[in-house]
Amino acid sequence: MNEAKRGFDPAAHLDAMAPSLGLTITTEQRQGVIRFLAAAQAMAEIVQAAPVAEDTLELAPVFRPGLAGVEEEA
Amino acid sequence: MSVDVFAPAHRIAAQVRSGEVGAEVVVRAFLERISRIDPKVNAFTDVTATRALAQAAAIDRARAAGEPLGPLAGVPFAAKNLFDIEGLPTRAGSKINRERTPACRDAVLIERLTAAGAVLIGGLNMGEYAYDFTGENAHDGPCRNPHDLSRMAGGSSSGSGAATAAGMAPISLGSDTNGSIRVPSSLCGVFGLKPTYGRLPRTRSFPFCDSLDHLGPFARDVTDLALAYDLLQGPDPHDPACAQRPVEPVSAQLTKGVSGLRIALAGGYFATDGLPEAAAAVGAVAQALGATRTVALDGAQIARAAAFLVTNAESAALHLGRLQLRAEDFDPDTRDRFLAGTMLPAAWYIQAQRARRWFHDQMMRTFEEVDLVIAPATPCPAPPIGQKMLEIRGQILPLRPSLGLFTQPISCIGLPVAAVPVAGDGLPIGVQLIAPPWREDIVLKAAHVLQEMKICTAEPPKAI
Repeated sequence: MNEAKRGFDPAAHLDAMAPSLGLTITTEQRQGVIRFLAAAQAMAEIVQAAPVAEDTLELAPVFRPGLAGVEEEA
Repeated sequence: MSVDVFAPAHRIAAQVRSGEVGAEVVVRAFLERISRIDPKVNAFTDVTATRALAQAAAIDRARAAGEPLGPLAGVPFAAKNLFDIEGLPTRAGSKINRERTPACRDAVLIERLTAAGAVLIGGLNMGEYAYDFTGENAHDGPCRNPHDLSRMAGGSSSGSGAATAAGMAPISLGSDTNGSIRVPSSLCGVFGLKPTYGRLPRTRSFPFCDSLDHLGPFARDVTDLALAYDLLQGPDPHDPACAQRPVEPVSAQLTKGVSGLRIALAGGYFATDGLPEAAAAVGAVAQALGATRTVALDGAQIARAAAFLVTNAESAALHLGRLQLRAEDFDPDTRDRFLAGTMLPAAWYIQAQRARRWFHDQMMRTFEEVDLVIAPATPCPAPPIGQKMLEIRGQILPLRPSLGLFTQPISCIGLPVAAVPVAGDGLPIGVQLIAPPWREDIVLKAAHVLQEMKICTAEPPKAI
């Protein structure tokens, strides 16, 4: 993720993504959007550190608390 | 007789049922208080006086005819304006939604309280599209804290916290995606319940982030909070996230106390070093409940980041069409966050959902050893309206996201939480009581103990 961080340029990301999403980012909006993209990237770096098993992808599209795989691991 | 607007809801209902006071008298008293107080507080965006008076008159006629009355007969309540209210456009704190067709039917939770005899008296101010912890709103004006009108009510259920704190609605309804019940409960000094994710159906309420949206009640009294919660429960087929569980009432067990429960204080990420008001409140609650240990809750920071990303991505996707066509009609304080959220790489969102599952499993292991966890609700009491930055443990951080620092990791995994108010010397501040999934009974019993001990009380505001 460190490499990804170095590679993430929020301004360039905005310029690439906005047209494909049909969004027009005004001058007034631009700095704020860049700031929030940078904040989201920092959060993405934190979640990347979660020690999830590499060969699983448990997303729980409808999240039901209390039904974890705790018993299996205990 | 005169109506005490700070009386508990269950007492008002008992008076109405016994005929000591008429429902119409009660409703008129609250409408009068709203007209006098709310211009200062700005908690209400709509007052449904005609409907409320008609319902109150019907309750009085029913009583006169000897018909049985509901457990909340004649008790006024109000709902955050993302709940559908028949005849009103569901604005969800926005300018854009005011153009919607008026709702043709109340939200299911409003229907349930109404069926119990409670009387809807209005829709409440909120942060735009619920993306807010402050209670500020560019379209409707800021909702002000009843304890100090120069300060924030907290958000996004700002009007819910403020109306209930100010004696304008003994019970109110709000929503909580990252802390939007618990933050205003803390800042306004009232009790709030965020039930387990999937417990209460969200049918006919305007969404924010489907993976994390919860609905729940506010009250100034724990008996009222539990009573409202019991009446709100039950399955509904129209919310796919609703767990469809049968009603599991709590009110009858409310006074059973907490003896035998393993109670712990949250440490690590939730430590209150350098946060004097939060430390004092958490310390008082921990001592009163007999907390015997501290649990680290490792991974809370990851959960908070996961909640941030899930919220940003899902809510931005929900609003993409509006952002494409009329971004200028958004509140500037939410607009740029929504715009950024439309552009998040899918891998970030998916990793956030994986991290959520991981932290949930971590917490389930913790709950093998403890039954109740105590944590601060907010890092500080209500900041001044307009403040943009917040000092937390020596760090200067943006205020808007930081008010939810302690609530966000918990709603991320859907745990039930009661926010309980500690009055303090000046402004109130809340504490979170956190239990395993589906154990709302534990947090409400603990809240009741704290109320009985007068550690946690919703004090009438002196500022209004």
